[in-house]
Amino acid sequence: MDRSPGSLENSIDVSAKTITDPAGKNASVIFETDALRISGIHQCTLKDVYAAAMGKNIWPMRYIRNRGSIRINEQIKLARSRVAVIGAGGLGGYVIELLARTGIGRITVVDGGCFDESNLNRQLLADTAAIGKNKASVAAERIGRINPAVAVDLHAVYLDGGNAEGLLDGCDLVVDALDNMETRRVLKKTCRTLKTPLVHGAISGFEGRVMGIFPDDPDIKALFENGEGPTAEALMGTPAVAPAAIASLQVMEALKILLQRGRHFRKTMLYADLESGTFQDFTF
Amino acid sequence: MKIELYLYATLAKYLPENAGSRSVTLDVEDNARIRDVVGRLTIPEKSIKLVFVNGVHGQMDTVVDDGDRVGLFPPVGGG
Repeated sequence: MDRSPGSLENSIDVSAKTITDPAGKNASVIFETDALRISGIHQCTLKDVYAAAMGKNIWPMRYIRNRGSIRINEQIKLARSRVAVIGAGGLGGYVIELLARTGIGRITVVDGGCFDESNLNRQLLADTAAIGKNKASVAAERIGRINPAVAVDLHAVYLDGGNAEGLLDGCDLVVDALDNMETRRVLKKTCRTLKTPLVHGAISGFEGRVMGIFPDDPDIKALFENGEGPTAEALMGTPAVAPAAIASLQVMEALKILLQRGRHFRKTMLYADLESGTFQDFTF
Repeated sequence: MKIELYLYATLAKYLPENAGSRSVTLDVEDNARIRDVVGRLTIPEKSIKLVFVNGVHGQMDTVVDDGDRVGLFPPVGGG
């Protein structure tokens, strides 16, 4: 490790501050203004500065409130992870928000659609200024404003059988934030081919479900089959609370898989009925 | 014997009027299959995608036991 004056390591050491957290524990931290200045001096990215800092047990101040629940070696692992979010609408907006704030290093966003007024009741990224704009583009801008230490792959296209492998190759995990079964079937097949874990989520009314699908798990075809006539979500609508709740559970599932901790909803569907306040496991 | 039938999402509309918002206790004959129960409530079989008995994946021809909790789901695909 180069600690000589003028090295990246030395710049980080000089800029590190000691703070006392709300639990009364001291922590060595680096503030973003300092980290950005260092990235300019050393011609590297903010992400590189944070990686070097965390390697020295110096917390980026923006992640300090992760401490206690996420260890610094886990924070480093998240910063080295690449997660794809397919769909940047109801589920995807919240999923992207939480992944970026948590500190996932690289996020691939895929959505060919544009925001319209019917999205305003629930989609985090849909505001009056975003109407008519591509969802993936708005998501990428949002990530940049939340956390410039996250690299973004922006794809303003719909996922399909022709582009899926190219878009998802190299990702550590994929989050299904889609709104239709046809594309979910393409996504599931691609994740199996690429041997990438998939975190499924779907909503309808005040209900929704989450499931971690690993490449070697049994293929449960009924999960992604269409019914006849209008869909459940068409009939029951999609009010705001279900995407927010299910997206949170999806991101938690993603973190558990990436960090290999906790209980995974593997071969198990978690079904949340927010109106009756019940969360139930259904196993395959 | 009795079973507890849970109907999720759009299937909830097939619950009898005296039922709760989500489930109903039904008297069923010995060796009844889930298909028989579904027929009694006039739920179109094609609208059911996932069947669970006591939280474990089952099929329409799974035979139910006294006290079983049966959960039925339509496709749920919003995002």
